[in-house]
Amino acid sequence: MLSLGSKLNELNPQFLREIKGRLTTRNLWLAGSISLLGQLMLFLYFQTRLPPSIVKLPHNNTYCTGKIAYGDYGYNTPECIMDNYGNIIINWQLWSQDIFHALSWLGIFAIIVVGTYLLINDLATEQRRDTLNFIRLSPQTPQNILVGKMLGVPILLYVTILMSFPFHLWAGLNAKLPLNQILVFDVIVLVASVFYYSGALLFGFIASWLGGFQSWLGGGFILGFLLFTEQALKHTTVVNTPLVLFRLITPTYFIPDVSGNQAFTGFHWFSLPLGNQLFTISSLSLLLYCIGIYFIWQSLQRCYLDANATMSSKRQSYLLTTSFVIITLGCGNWHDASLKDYLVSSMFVYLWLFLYLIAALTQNRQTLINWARYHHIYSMQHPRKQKFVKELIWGEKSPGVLAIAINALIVFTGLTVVLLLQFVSVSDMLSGFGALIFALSLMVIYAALAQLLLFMKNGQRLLWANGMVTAVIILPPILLSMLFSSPQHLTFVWFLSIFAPILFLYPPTNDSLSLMTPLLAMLAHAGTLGLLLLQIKRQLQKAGD
Amino acid sequence: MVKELAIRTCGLTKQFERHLAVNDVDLEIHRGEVYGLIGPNGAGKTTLIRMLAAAEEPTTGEIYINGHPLRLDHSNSHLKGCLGYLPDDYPLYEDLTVWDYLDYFARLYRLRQPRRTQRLHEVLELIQLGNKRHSLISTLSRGMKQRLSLARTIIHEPILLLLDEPVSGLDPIARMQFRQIIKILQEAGMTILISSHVLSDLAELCTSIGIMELGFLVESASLQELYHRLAKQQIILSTLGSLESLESELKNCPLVEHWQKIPGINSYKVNFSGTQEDCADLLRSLILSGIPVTGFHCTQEDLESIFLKLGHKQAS
Repeated sequence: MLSLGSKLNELNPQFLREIKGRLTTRNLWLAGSISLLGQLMLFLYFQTRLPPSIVKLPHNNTYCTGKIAYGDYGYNTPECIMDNYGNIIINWQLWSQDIFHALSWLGIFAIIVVGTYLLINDLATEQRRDTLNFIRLSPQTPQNILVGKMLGVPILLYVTILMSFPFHLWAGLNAKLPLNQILVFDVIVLVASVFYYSGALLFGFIASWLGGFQSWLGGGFILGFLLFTEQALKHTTVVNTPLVLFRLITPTYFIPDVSGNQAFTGFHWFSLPLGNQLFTISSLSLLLYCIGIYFIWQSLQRCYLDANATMSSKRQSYLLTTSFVIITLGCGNWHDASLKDYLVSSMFVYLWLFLYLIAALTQNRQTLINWARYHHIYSMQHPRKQKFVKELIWGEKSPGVLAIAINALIVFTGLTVVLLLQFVSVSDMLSGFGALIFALSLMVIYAALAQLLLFMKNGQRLLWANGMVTAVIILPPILLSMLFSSPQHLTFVWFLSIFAPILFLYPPTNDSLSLMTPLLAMLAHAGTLGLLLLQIKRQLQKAGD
Repeated sequence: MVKELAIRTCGLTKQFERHLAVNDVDLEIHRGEVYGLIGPNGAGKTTLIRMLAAAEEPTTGEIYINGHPLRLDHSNSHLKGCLGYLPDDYPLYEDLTVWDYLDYFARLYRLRQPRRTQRLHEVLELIQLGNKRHSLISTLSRGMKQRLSLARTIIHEPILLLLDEPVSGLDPIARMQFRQIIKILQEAGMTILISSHVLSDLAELCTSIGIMELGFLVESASLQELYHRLAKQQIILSTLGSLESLESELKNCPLVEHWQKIPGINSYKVNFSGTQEDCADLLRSLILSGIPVTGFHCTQEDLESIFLKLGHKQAS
């Protein structure tokens, strides 16, 4: 064990640096005490939930074994019955399972949310001290440094979690949960942690402009995401929509249960019934994590080597979108699900993808100024990409709007396949196409707006760009719903908001929409995009003079 | 030819907004040289050094280190191992001890045992911090921290050292210690690029000098050539007699360009354009004309005078 540790230290100096100062005797005692105290408190809490040893029957308790009756608190709880010695018979299996579930919940939230916070905070400190540059200049690979950080920064958290592992395992086995299910769950939590930690490091690199607030924002976002996926999607019975992806990357859905895992029952991926078996659905979840980790690490390498680089190259973005399209296409139920439901949930998932792509591909002001002035030199350095359009499609320093449009085209192609293969009525198909066109044109407009705002000669342009794009997405529907409660009024204006695709799929009146309103809205979209692109072109020309 | 050069840049340019911090710089530094970079604040020295250290990406232009192109987008682990960069603000990990800090960087630069421990002892001895090796960095003085940063820069025995104003803010003793270390490193064969405002230090250390102004490299030559081309010979002349008679004799010598009385003492500072033989002739003629010469000291204009005379005072 000791030689393994020293070997790791030799291989990864960053890991050694991170644990030095953290793994002190005092900190280890503290972490151990917190873990043991937490376990003890949890155990005592569940002890208090057992029926008292001396009780006057009839009495109801969750952990009793009698017939189900209407309990004190309005729950359907079993009645307590006694054995021959006058002791209440306890359902120890359920009691242990509840402890197991509580520990799993706490463990997932602690390891993902707290770990994310710690990693972003550590990067923020390095950036504030300006020490990260020295590490960058060393011959160590980005992978080595970042793996060292992932292993080392939350080391005390790992100690705390590891110390609760025996209790967790004991509770699981006592609840008669199969060992393989417990181990599969542990593997999923482990891989999920790598996924979320990689995301945290990437966020730490790109959000340094937030001046220390990024650790709270990142931690809060992950907490919100886990709560949202856990609570908002908990009771959704439809699993054959792309929304299931959120479940697949939330480890709480994989917590083993004696009654079996119901979260993915009936889920098909390209008609394969993956949701009925724990092994197959877990494999799909792990595959998704691995794909996510691959793309995040591609971005991490870029951001680590060059602080001014975009998160993703254009080529990587096309590959990411294509992978995403393939995965989401598989999530559609190809037999009997509603096409409209599928499209709406697809568009919700793609909204997040495009927000990421906009953040990942939009160039900063300096790169655009350099590109505008020197792109003839850059293209000479890469003779194969001499042509201007090719540079806009593949170029490392060119504006990202065309690349976003190409990504939109990839999504459009993918979803067109769904529309054509689903044998639906012509009107449904047309409304599907219309919704898609509106959704994707909105994404390109947001991308052009973000690019224009990042070109501003203003020190706070990052804040402006983020704030404005968020406002453009969120504010119009809020204002419109406050002013006109229903999209039946001023339908045209609603078509300019993020709700445009939904309006197309679910027209506000019983009659289908008149052709004129969407056509006018389409023209308005094209006009807005044209104006934004014209302004970007002007700015580029000005910068290049 | 390229391989003889430790550093070669071609058309190196860095633009911030619409402002050119470094403008089309073609720099050549030979192996084993100590190259001093001087210029007013904002002339582009730090940006140039940061680009050479791969800490900043050039807007355009190429950098070659020992003939190999240096790029920021590739890992360049071999080239990174050849470079040692000391920035002007030298951030440190205050929570580590001196030994742990150096050990961390030695590991980052892939030094293996037992060489690592040996090298740590060597650099601690060189920077004279052996007795402080178990002290926390936060407890060190500014000079010690500066020397520790230099130790971190050279821990992996780079062949090219880039030092950005390494003596700024140091007291004279710390500066002297720093100069001594640089001389030892030069003797060890390192190529050193050093930017500093303390021109007397550069005159003592450097073999070549580059002057930057407005982002341009306006001068780049060996120190000898610079002195030969731009430094004027000066003679400090002292007499027991009257200054008027000395002045009338100086007027007769065509090689004397200008003279200036040194206040407080009976002496003149004379700008002289002749050779050593001409100096001897001048002294002989003064003595033959009966002037009681008590001092005749030939000297040269120093680097600071040359720099000021050139008038490169504009920031970019």
